[in-house]
Amino acid sequence: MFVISKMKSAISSFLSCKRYSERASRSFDEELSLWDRIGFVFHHYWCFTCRTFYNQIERIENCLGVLAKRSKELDPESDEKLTQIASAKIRTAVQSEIEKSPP
Amino acid sequence: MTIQSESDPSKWLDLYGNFLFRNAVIRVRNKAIAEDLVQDTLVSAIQAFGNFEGRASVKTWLLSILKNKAIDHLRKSNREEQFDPDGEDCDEEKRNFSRFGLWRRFLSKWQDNPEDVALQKGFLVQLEGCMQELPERLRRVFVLKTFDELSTEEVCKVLGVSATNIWVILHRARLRLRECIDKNWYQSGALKK
Repeated sequence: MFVISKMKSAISSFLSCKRYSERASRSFDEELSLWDRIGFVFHHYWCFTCRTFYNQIERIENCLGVLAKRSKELDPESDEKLTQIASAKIRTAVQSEIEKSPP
Repeated sequence: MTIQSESDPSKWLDLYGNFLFRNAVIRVRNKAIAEDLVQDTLVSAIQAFGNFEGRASVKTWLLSILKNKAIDHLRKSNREEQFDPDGEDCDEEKRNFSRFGLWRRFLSKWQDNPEDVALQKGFLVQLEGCMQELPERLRRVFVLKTFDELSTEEVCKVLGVSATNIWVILHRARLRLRECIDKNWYQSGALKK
């Protein structure tokens, strides 16, 4: 039964672009099982649109990695800045905490 | 920036306030909540400064405190919501695939060169915008996986969602991001400007 269900899953991803896209997405987060990989690889080679989809999400994943790395660096040119009101409020809270804390 | 100014908590807001705020907005999207997270982070950091061993820079340490605060916030706000895999968020699958599981339309290749630095910069700005437009549930999972580098198991714990649902959410988020980039970057003519 187990083998049959796995074969069915491989066949469905071999035939269906929707199933392929699910496997493609998952392949960025974990290694696919053998059966899923078989269906995935077959579909990848015969379906041009799915290959395009895979290349596009691969580029998005790479760029998200760049964005994540960049977010860990100081960026003085960023548009996202604290407003003066927010800064003043935070400064007051910080000052009061510094006064409370022992040196 | 001197080591002395880094170790002076009264300078942290000027040195790292905007940096923390940008990271908070990525994680919670709401600017008022992001401001609160920055304040909580700095206050907690001052309280815990005695335990700071200086193994990482102050900036990295503050960012890790902010990450934990943001995760706590997500955990709390997530308790009230239950994920329904067949619910409101499944439009993108219907939009992209026919009932036979085939693409509704042919996907054309993205023709620009990813090595072109200026184009890549524009692409990243567009991608950041598309990320912010994702439905909240999809965006949260993506941020935890990509920006906070949490494993699938950790994301499941934070959001109280099963691993199967996490795959569904990630898949839908990727479909949406691809559509959004395709529409706003490649088809709108923004690429040619």
